[in-house]
Amino acid sequence: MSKLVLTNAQVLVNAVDISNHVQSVTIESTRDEVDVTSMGDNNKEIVLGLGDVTFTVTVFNDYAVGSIDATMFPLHTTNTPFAVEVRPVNGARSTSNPGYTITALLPQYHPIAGSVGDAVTTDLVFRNAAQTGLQRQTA
Amino acid sequence: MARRRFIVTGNLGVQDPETGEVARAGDVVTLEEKDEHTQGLVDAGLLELESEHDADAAAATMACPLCDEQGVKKVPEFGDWTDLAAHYGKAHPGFVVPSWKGGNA
Repeated sequence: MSKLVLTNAQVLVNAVDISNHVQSVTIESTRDEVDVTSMGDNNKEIVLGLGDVTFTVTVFNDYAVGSIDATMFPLHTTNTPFAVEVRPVNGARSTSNPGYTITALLPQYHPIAGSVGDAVTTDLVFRNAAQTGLQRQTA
Repeated sequence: MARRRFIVTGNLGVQDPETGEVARAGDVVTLEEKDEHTQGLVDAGLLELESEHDADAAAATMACPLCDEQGVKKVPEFGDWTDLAAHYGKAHPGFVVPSWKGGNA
């Protein structure tokens, strides 16, 4: 795969493909910068500390049976982590179409948010909830 | 645990845990019926047992009760009450259309 315009990313939440309601998706993986600069050093020195991952998925909410709201609300209320996966292109994982996965929880959910005349969009902010952190899978 | 066939009924896709393929509305996936995840998808309206789906589809049509009573060989079936009422008007004039499927006659 060469340079890509994002038009058909795949988002799977708890084994449900919600891609056809997704407006945007962002994966944010961070590692704490731990300062280990010591006496006698001339420059700051850091090492990487604890990792953290957040998947932010903006969806057009849909209140129909078997759609977004009916799927997300139970996930918001459960304390059992579930899998979330994002791929650049809606298709099988491969070396050029990696699947980024986390085991997550959904601590915040805004079923309705918007102004008059707006499409009802909802930010789904999935937070890392397992020690496996962010995985990059190609098969 | 029993594996059963489910029909995808929502407007989202459901990933087959074994193949990783995504099944779309109308597709059939075979899953463990008692599995917590499967139950969650059923509760959310994403999946429906194929047998119940078929039964619902069958129940969605109504056979003409008068034709049935009169021993007609091939009892006509109708998708909604309006069609049944129209049939009554032609085939059974003077009879009251049954109201058991939403009618008010």
